[in-house]
Amino acid sequence: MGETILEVNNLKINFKTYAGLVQAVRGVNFSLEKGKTLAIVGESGSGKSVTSNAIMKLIPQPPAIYAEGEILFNGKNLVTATEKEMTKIRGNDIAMIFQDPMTALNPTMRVGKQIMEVILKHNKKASKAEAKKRAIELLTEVGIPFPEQRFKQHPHEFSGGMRQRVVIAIALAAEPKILIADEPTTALDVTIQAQILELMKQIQRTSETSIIFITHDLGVVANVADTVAVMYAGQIVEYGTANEIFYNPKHPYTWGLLGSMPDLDNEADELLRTIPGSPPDLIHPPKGDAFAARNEFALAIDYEQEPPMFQVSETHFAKTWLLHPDAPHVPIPEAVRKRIEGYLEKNDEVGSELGKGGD
Amino acid sequence: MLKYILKRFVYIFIALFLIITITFFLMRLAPGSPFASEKSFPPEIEAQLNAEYGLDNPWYIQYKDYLISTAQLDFGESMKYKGRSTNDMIAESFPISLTLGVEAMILAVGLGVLFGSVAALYHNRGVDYVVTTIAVLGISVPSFILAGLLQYFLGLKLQLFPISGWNGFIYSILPATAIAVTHMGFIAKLVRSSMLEQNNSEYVKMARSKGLSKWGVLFKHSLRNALLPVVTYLAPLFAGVITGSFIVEQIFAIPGLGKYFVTSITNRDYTVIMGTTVFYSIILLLAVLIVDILYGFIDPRIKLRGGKKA
Repeated sequence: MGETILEVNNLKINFKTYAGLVQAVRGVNFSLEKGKTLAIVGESGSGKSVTSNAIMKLIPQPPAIYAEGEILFNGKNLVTATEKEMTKIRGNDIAMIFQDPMTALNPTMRVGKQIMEVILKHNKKASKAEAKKRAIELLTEVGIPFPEQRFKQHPHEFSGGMRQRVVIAIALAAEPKILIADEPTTALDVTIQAQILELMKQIQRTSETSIIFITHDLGVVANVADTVAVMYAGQIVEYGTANEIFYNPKHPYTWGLLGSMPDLDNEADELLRTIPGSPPDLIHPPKGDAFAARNEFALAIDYEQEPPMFQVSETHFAKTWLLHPDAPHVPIPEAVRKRIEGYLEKNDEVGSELGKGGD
Repeated sequence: MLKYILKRFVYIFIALFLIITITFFLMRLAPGSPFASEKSFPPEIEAQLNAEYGLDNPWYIQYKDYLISTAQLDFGESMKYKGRSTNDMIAESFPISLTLGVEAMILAVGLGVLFGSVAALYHNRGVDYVVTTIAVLGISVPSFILAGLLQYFLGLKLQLFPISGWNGFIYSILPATAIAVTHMGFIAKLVRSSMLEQNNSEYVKMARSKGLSKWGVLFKHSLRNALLPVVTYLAPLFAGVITGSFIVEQIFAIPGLGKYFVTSITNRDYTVIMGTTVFYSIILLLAVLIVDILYGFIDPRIKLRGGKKA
């Protein structure tokens, strides 16, 4: 076990809307170790982006309310930190990579200046010339050719993949301890996705940065994550090492997610699997297990009482009544199992890092 | 860039030609004449006057004369005020209106942008409501009422400013304020909504995630992007404001250009109508051109090109 750098305890976040109070995050716990990657996975509206923005305190208050819980960064609670303290942490200690590189850069400012800005903000001693030198180094580091020329250009002169590299360069500029990547590859095409993921892994190897990786793409997770948290309806429903989540998933929602990965090698007559229904209304969260209504293995108790986190192993937890000693034994559906195996095999062929051992 | 500007100048000349033509025929269509007044002239004298100003010529000769005189930028003698040329009238009164207009513009743009930005920064909070209320009041209270109120309270009651006349900077403050307030309110609302739109965009969130403070994000990032719609509004505003306001100049007894736009028409003072119209058009067309060039400086994505593809 490494050194814990970030700990989120029982975080609850509500949004005030005209329709009522939306409970977007309902008691989330996780911790992040130095130099490791935590992936938060879930479908749209599961609260993963809210959680990540909440760590940076980037969600507007109002309407957002930090209802309960704490976010401990190196022991300091960010929930109670002032805006002024946060400006010292943002960019400097915790940096963020945004989903859409097409809109994340200021269209009227030169790319170089957007990078220099972070350096000058967080390193008061740096001169403009030093900041410029560092910015050009960063552009080189993230793999942008002709950095001196590129430095002077505006964002519209860059392609999507190149812009995401710039966004990463900005995030890295002040050498943050934690990098929050909010679906960094969703807006990019597949070949660029692979390059960006490779870049992020390389950064982590060289600088010991911890990464929180938000995504709905499990294929990406297998490539990058040490630990995986599966979120559903504002809660973490399964938490474990990447190996545990892929080889021994316990929660029916995780099965559903894994099963719905497209598999190109499979028999052609099999349809793309989906999880039926849609996520619950978080203004009035359902009684019992929030996933019950969409769960083909739901038990009677799922509609009555919320399941606790059952411990599967030292590092593996799942929030489902199926793990209760009295519950009937439900194995992973055969089709889902096959799909996961097929997927892992394919991943092995392309040299995935999965299976390096969940320590 | 140079090619673009040259091309725009060609358009300006075409536009001016059309404006002169339309103005000429509208003047002809309007009944009455510069010499019609309550005591009518004997027909011989009227015929003589018409002959002197060339009004007895067929319309195409008159039209040609106007085109030529406009091309020479010499609009001829006023038909109402004997012995005064239109050019002199503009040359005398325009500097006054220009001073007043520039002051009003600085006030309107400066305060408007400031108020709009602050309102957007404190969106849906007390400050925002106060600023929005002031802006709506500014837009809806007519300038002549505001002028009267300013004269009464600041001029008469508090004796802070002279009530009327034109005798130095201190005389220009009240009228400039009266002109500026409406435009300030409009600019404030424009900036506010434009800033709110920018504040919802990803790059503003990104700027915040860099650790910049609220004001840092405002000045370094969102303001420049939010100003484009304001700049668009500035061209007609500028042309309108520097050529004077009939009402405000009347109320404050300022010998500006504004009154000639109205009196020349009621007097059927053909030469002055043509002169003021062409003068206003030139300023407006140039202001629009300058704004278009400014776009390119504010937003690097906008490239000005002279070629057909532009």
